[in-house]
Order: sequence, then C-alpha cells, then structure tokens
Amino acid sequence: MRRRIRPRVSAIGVTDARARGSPRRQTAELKENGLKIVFDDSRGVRQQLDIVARRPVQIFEVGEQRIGLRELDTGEAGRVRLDLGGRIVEGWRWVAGNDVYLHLEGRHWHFRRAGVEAGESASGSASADIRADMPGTVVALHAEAGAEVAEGDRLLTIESMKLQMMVTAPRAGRISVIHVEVNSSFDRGATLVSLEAEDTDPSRLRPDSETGRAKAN
Amino acid sequence: MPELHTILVANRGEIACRIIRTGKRLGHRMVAVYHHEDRLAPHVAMADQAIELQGAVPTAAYLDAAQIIAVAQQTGAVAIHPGYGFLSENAAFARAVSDAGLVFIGPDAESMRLMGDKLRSREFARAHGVPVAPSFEIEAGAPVQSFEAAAQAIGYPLLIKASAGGGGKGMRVVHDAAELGSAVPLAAGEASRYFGDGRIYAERLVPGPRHIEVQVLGDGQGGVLHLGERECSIQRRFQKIVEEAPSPGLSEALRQSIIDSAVRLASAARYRNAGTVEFILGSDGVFYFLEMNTRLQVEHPVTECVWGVDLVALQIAVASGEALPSQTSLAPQGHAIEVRICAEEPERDFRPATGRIGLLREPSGEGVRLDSGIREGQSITPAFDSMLAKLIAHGRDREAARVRLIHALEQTALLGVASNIDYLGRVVAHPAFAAAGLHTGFVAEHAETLLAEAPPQQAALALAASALGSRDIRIMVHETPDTAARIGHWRN
Amino acid sequence: MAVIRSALRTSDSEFRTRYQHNRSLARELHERQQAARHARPSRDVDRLRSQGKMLPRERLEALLDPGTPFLELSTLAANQAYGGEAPGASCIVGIGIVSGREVIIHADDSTIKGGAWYPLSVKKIIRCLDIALENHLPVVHLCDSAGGFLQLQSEVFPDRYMAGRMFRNQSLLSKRGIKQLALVMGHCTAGGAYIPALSDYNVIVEGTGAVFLGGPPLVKAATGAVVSADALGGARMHTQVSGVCDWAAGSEAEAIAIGREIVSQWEPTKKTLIACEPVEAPLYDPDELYGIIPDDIKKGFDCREVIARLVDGSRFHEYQPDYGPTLVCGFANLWGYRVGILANNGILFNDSALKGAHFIELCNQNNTPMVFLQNITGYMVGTDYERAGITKDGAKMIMAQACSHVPKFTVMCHASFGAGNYGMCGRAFDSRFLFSWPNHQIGVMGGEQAANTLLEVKLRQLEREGRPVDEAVLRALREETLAAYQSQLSAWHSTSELWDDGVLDPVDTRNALGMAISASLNAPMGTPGYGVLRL
Repeated sequence: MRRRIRPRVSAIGVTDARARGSPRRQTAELKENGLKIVFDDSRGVRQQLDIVARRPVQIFEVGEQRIGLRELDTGEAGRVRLDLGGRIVEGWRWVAGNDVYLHLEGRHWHFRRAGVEAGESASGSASADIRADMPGTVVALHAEAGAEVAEGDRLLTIESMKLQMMVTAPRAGRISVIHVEVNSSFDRGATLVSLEAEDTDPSRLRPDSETGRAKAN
Repeated sequence: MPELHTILVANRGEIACRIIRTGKRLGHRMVAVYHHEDRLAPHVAMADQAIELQGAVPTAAYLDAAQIIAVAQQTGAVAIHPGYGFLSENAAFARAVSDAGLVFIGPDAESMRLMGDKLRSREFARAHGVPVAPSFEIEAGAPVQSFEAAAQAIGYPLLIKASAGGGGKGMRVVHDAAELGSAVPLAAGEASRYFGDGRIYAERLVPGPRHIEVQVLGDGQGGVLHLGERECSIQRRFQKIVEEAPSPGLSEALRQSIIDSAVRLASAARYRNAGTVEFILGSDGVFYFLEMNTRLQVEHPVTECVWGVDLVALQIAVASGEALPSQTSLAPQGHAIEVRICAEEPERDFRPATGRIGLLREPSGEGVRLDSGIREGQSITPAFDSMLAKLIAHGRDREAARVRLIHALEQTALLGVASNIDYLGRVVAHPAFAAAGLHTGFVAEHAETLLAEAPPQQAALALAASALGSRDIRIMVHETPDTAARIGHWRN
Repeated sequence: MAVIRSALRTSDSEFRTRYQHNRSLARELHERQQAARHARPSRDVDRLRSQGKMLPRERLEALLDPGTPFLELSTLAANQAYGGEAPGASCIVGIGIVSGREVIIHADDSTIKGGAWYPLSVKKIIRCLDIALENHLPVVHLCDSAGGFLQLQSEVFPDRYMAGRMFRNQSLLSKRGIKQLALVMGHCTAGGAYIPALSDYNVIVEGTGAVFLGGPPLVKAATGAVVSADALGGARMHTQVSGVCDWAAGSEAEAIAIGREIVSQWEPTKKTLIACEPVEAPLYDPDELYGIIPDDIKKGFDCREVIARLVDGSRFHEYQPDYGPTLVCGFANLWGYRVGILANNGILFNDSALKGAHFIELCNQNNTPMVFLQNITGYMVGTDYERAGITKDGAKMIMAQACSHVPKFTVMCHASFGAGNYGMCGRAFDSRFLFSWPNHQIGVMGGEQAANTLLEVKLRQLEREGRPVDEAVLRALREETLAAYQSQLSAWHSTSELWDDGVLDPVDTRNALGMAISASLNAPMGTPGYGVLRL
C-alpha cells in the first residue's frame, strides 16, 4: 500500500520538522522574553515590532497585524520600494538619529526609536563627577552650584598647555558642587564639578519633542 | 531696463521667493534681506543680492523699517515690495519708504491707515453703501451695563474683535449675556497685548458663515479692476488653510453684488495697487463687509490661475505708473483650489512643529503649482510663522481642480518636520468639501473624520517600512545567515 | 535526485510501540532539560534579583536577535555528576544570531553556586572555545562567575585541558582574527578575570560587574586591607583608571545593547561556499522518526527511513547502492547544503568499509561536508573476514575519515559500540558537532555482551581456583554488572560527561544540523590529503 506523502512547504517558504508548540504560542513567548524592538508613533503610543521571518520574505508583526514584505533595492537615497506579495508600493524614508520619517501610499509617518537600543538607560546614574583630563587652571566659571543645567551647557573654561577648552555638562542635572574657582589650578583627574544624582523614573524616559533629549515624565 | 530696475523684497519664505521669481522674469534686479536664522532659506539664494539684517529676535529684523530702508539705499534699490504680513500694512513704513525717495509697491499710507482701522473702515464702508454687520464699539473700561442693551439689540451669539487686529487674533465668541461681562475685559487685554491698541468692538456672529473676498487693483484715481472673488471658508484657529476661486454655489446675482460692493469701496477710497475686500456671507444669503487688506494676500495664486494674470507683475506695473488692464480684456476660466502647507500637528490641536527638513519631494504635473519657501536641509524653528508652502491646483471645473489637488498632495513628501499635508488631503477629499458645503466651522464640524487614525494594517506596514530604515534592524533582517533566517525562532 | 521510497507502515503495532517508547523518551528529555534550565532554589533566584541582575536565560534572550534560532549545546552536562548540584555544569553554551552574525555564546549561570566552575564547567567552556576555533565562530561571553569550585580544584586547575586551556584558546582565537566580546555582569575573579581581559572587546556593568585577580576576601587575607568589590575592580575603576574594561554600562540591558552594537560592527564573515540549492522540507513527516527508532538497543532499523525524514525533499542520491549494503552512503541536501551521508544498516564488513573510505574521499574531493548517522555495534569478526583483511579495510576507513578536511557532523542515532564508533567519526575524530538521541547507548561493547563476557571471565576464574559455582551469586553478579554498565552506557551519562554536544529530540535533528553546517562554514576548508592507506 502506498503511503500518502504530505508536502510540507508553507506560505513563507519552508516550515520544517515539527516545532514545539504552535507558531502562535512561540510568537507570544518571543514577545515576552526576547529582545524588543520598540518605537513611539507620532501620537506617543509605544509600538513593538516583531520579526517573525526573514527569508525569502520579511514578515513582521505589530500587535495583531502581520505584514509580509520584501524590500527592493531602489539605488536612490531615501527612496523605498516594497513588494507586498505582488503589490509594489513606493515611498520615501529619512532617518535622523532615533527618528524615522516615512512617506508611503500618500501618507506621512513619524516614528521614534525607544528602549535600550535608543540609548534609554534603565537605571539612573549616580552623581556625575566631571574630572580634568589634564592639569591646568580655571579661566572662567559659567554656572554656579544649585543651577539646573541641560546636556551640553557650558560649565567652565579651563586652560591647559596653552590651550583653552570649554567644559560642558555631560547630561542634564543640577550642579551640586563646583570644586574650583577662577585662577585656581588643578591636577589631572581632579574633580572640577559634581552633578547631583539623577532623579529619574527608571522605567521610561520620554524624549522631549522640542529638543529630542530624554527627560523624565 | 524696467523703470523700477532694482527692487528690495522686505519679506521671507514663500512670498519672498514668489516675488523674486516674477521680478527676475520681468528683468528686475532683486534684492533679498534675511536674518541669520534664515540664511539657508531659498529666497536668499534666489535673489541677485542678499543682505543680512541684524536683529536679536528674527521676526524683529523683518520689522526693522529703518534698517530695511537703509539696505535698500545701500544696494541701489529704487522700490520695496513688502509682501504680506510684517510691514506690508504698516502705514508709517509706507510713508518712510516714500520719504526716502523709494517706491513702495502697494497702496499709499492713507489707504492703509483707513483700512487698517477696523472701526474706521466699517464706517467708511457703510457710508458708501457697502453692507456692514450690525455692531457697536466697546469703550475701554466701560461697565457691562453700558453696552448690554446694544448687545441685546444685535442678538447673541456675538463676536468680539480687536479694532487693530487681524490674522484671527483677539477674537472671542460670546454666547449669551452671562458671558459678556467676563469676555470683554479679556478681549480688550488681548487686543492691547497683540496690537498695542485695546479698542474692541462687537458684531453679530453670522450663521454658517462663509468667508468671501474680492481681489481688486486700483489706479489711485478711482479706477478699479476686479479679479473676481475667492472663497476662504476652511479655517482653523481663525486662519485660512484652504482657499478657492471662484466661490462655489453662488448665484450670479449674489456674486455680482459682492463684487460691486468691493469695487465701490476701493473706488471710493481712491485705492491704489492690489488689495482684497473681505466679506462674510451667512447661510441666509446676507453678506457683510469684514475688512479690507491693503496688500497682496497669501491666497492670491488661485486668482492668478483662474484669471491668467500675474498679480505681482501687476503690482509692479501699477507702482511703475502703468495703466491697469481693462476689465473686459480679462475673463475667468476654470477653477483653482489652494491649500496652505504648515509645520504643525493637526492631531495636537494644530500645535506648530519644528525640525529639520530631511527630505522634500515636490508634486508636479499639469495644473499643479507649488509656491514654496523651503528647501531640503532647512531648519524650521519657532522663530517664524509655521506656513511653509502653498499648493495650488487648477482645473477646468471645481471637481477637476479638487481631484488634481488630492493627487498632488499625495505626491508631496515632506520628511523631518510634522506637517498638515495629510490633513489637508483629508479636508479636500471630504465629501462635504466635494459637495461644497463650506463654512468657517467646517474644520470643527468634521473634526472627528478629519483627525481619524489610519487603519491598523496601514499603520503596521508603515512601522515595518520605517523600522527597515534603522541600521541595526536592517542588519538583523538582511545579514542573518540564510539557514538561521529560514529556521526562524527555534530552541532545542 | 530520487526521492527515498519509504516502506514504513505507520499502522503496524511495531511502529506504534516504538512511537510510544520514543515519544516518552523525548518527553523525558524535555523534562530533564526543563529542570536543568529552570529549576533553581528560590533563594538563589531571589539573591540574583536582589542584586538587580537578570537571570542568565533572560540575558540570553535579550542578547539574541528576535525570531532567530538558538542551538543550545550540552544542556544536560553534569546531570549525573556532583550529586546533581550543577545542572548544565553551571553554564549555558549555544550558537545563536546576534546583530545578524552567527556567534557562539557562553554564559555563566550564577544561580548555581554563584556560577562557580566545576570540572565539567571548565570542560564545557573549553569545548565552546574549541568549537569557536574549529568553526571560526566569534564568541560572546556573559561573565558572572565566582571562579573555580575550590573543593574540586585538582580537577579544575592543573592539567593540560583544564582551566588554563580556556585562556590558551582565547589567545589563539584572537590570533586567528576570531573576535570575542565579554559582557561582565558579575564577578570575574582570579582565572575568571582573564576571560574579559583576553576578549577583544568587553563591557562591564556598573555596580554588579567586577574584575580582579584577587577578590576582597583574598586581598584581606593577603594584606589585611579591607576594600569593596566595586572599589577593587568595579566598572568605574576599570573604565576610567586601569583601562581593563572598554565600556561601562548603567544596567545589564544597556550592556547587552552596547554588546549588540559592537557585534554589529564586526566584519561579516565570508563564508566558505559549498554547493547549495533552494531549500525543501522533507517529504515525509519527521514525527515518524519516533516510530522508526527501535525500543531495544539490540533491534535494528532501516537507516534510509531516518535519512528520508532529515533531508530536503527526502531526496537521496545513493552511492554504490548494490555494494557494501550495511553502510548506506549517498548525497543529499540538508537545509539546501549538499552533504554526504554515511549511515549504518548493520555491522561493517570489508566491502562496506571500503565503500565508506572511497565515499569519504569523494566528499573530500568535492568539498562536501559529511554527516555520519551512527548505529553501529562493530565490525564483522571471524576467520574469513580477518583473512580478507577486515582490519586493514577498517583502518582505511578510519584513515580517510580522520584525515578529512571537510566539516564532519555525527549523530548517535542508536548504538555506538566498539571500533565501529571510530570509523563512523566518534568523538575522538573531531567532528565539528556531535549529537546523541535519547535512546543512544555508547560503550566498548553492549551491556548484555559486557555482562556476559565478565561472567565468562568470572566463571573461568572460579574454575581455575576450583571454587564452586553458585548460580544465584552469578545471576546477581550479572544483574549488578548489567545495571552498572547500563548507567554508563546511557545517553544521559555520555551527555553528562560531555562526550557529546547535547542530546537532541530526533525531530530537532534537522534544524540542529542545519545550524551546525551553517556555523561550520565560517571557517575555510583545507585541502585533501591522507596518510598511508594500507591497501
């Protein structure tokens, strides 16, 4: 008696030796335990993107939606061409840091990368001590103790080996102590300014849409 | 060489580009001015010469009359075109320009003063048989009782407006007598702050109002050429965002009546150069004079498309002393619709947006015109107004123009700053718009459908397509070795 | 390529019995693995949590690319050793995809005695690094270990293939341009400090990560100085002062993100190209493997039925089908890769050994990796065969196989007894990966045979000494021998001792081999060459 042969080729290319559990359950586990790719949309709602398959087509899942597509080469910077299983859509895409802007099917989109990959730290850092990389003297002070500073704000001008340099704040915070005064000298490794320990909610830092910098909400 | 051989454009953005374009086409030498924040703006590169203005606050630079006139003299400009906004309706500036021996491309100072004062202009209109909405002045600091009766006579709801105001600022709706007492001092305070003039007046709020305006050009001796009407009823925050010419659904009699009123007013004022007379038309078919803008308007392109003229060229011609074309030599053809592309977020109450224009793809095609003041790489900051460009579509009829505009909007890609491009597309595609159900409350009435979210399938596709722009995601998707990519998620 | 014709009758009682048996073995495998992976005393988990650490498997899942496979090796290492104190030999080793690159990952499991290294832990890590060396796989270390398990230091420290071998391997990996990244998520003490130090890149977690040749207790004992772990060898010091560590991360999640970024910047390896075709799933259901594998070590099965459920499209191009029938040789595709398969259908004879040797030479000539499906109880014995030279024929097969330059993969499908293990590429012959099935047994001879042989020996001894033969005593002796032998023969024991790279559920074999072959192609292939074949 001839055995019935069951072909086992699936829609996304190939399924294989029986996977443990149904595909749906695996995806759920994946979403729970694995590396997460997250974006905030233009309304500030956080979305998670799951990569379900890569070859021969890319299959993604966003919430309940499953999209199969293949990105085609366009040879033109910014131009995007996607094969959605026969239907070709074209558009434009521009990336600036953690922001992605897209124009597809006559509609504009903006997503911002979130999560650890975007540089959001899960823990606040302890007080930041700003130290001198070489010995020198203080030429001018631009801030005082107790002041709130933003990342990149000028703190003091120092001179070292005939070279004047600007010392700026490595992150936003409040200055707790300025350890030096104008015309004082310091050694390599000396602490110049101390910032207070960050007082942020570790679970989520939201970017400020105006400046693009993370601030606590 | 044209008489006004060198013209300085005292403005920025799309209108500066627009004026420079026509100026150069006609053989004039065009001088641009700009603040440091605008150094990458297109109008700077387009001009034959560009001079940087000093000003701590960017807008202040474009309002610095003395500096601008000095630049004009320094560069040999013989005329100044003020564009719209900024100093365009500043009578003192117009006077100073002519005092400096330069030609001001626009009306004279007297017309500006007359029409710039809402109360005076309304009086003037009424005196010349132009219908004016019943209203009454409110004295500064006067007690509520003194005008309660007048308010009652007009009837609620009322609209309180600043006499020296414009651009939608300093306006307040009063629904009933109870609100009157609190609304008046607030409105007066706002008027003071924004316009330096605390005078306010109240007028009847017209039902289902439509904003209709007439483009006029005067020769300064009572002769007035009209170029038809425009409909500007689609507004948000009292600012126009969609305009069209001609006004849909007007009876010929009504249209002519409105135009005649406008011409009568401009003629009586012996108006010179381009101006626009604005009316408000109620759903009851009654129209009232609103105000006259003594300058070129933002939405002038729709008139140009339909009447086949170049209004900036006509302005320069009048300022050069040339005669106006005759009314009979011009006739309107077809229909044109314009949308104002602004850097804003419609779903956040049209809050202005900032950013850098990373990618810009402009629409093209027959009957499509884009008046743009931006280019790729430019930073959009809160320093200036949020309007970036105007997109106009012209067709043989309203529906043809409308369809063309929808298509052009879909083609337009502006990446890096939030904009209202998609929102404008939804407005123009809305069945109520298609059916020309226009009134100034359109945006509020249809807010829900206009601000509706995209279908989840489309949003998911957009997220996936966007994600593929990130380097690390691209690596994860494309550089995974074949076998692992095919196996997918698996654990032994 | 022709499709294998299956003669399997799934409605047969034999099929059903075997199916039940192997399914329950597979279930047992999963239960044991589940326990080895996840069952920990709650106080150990709590301790980790209170330190703000992620569990080792959580770190792994956060490190791996989403939607990618992970082939874990030797999950059940040490399951029969140390009284079961060290499941998985307190470390996790496996091959996965990180930022689009194939890497081998070694993660210390600090939920077990603080991640201390038992002798088998060291053996497992050395095996991990050997795999990295042979296959040119970059390594990612997730370090969180208390160092060598002092109580067993003599088995951990002094000899050639003990702790020092890890660092020797690390050095050679670096010399060969095979990159290593270490994420210091806990303590790296004494020898353990060398793992991040010898890695090309390392990241250290603030607060919990520390690297020092001598920890605080040792420093106190040696000099009397009291210093905290963080001050002695914490993130701040090593990234700002000593330069031992490259990046400081505020959290484990951040360390993993930095690690992924580092890996993404590594040049993608140019993989060795071998013949490759579009992938097809096997035509026959791999689930049927459960019904093919016998429920008794003495029973046999047709290896073609197994091949049919492993290879693409169940297509198999058999080599010399009519000669040497006890060794089935042929070409097939597995996950698209062209491979040469050698599988046993009985014991090896002269002709099958010769056939095997020739087939191995063909595979080497054509750069075709080889897959050995072992089910061998030995070579034929007897006068005729010896006179025909079976010893030298077996030697030829061993010579060809041992000198092969193509990657070899071995799956212990059933029995692996005696010299047959050698010819069929047993552990000593450096297959890139070697896996067992749960029903697998390995020994110099089968249990029954061993028990009987020992009994024979005992009987003769008693006869020589003229002592009486007590049937009951002999029977008890036989049972005892058999029982002791059985425990040593079983797959659980061999995987515990790391004689294989893991026990696989038969249905997982295809995926495991696919990943193994893909990993092996990161290394260049050598050139053919053999020693003297005794003709």
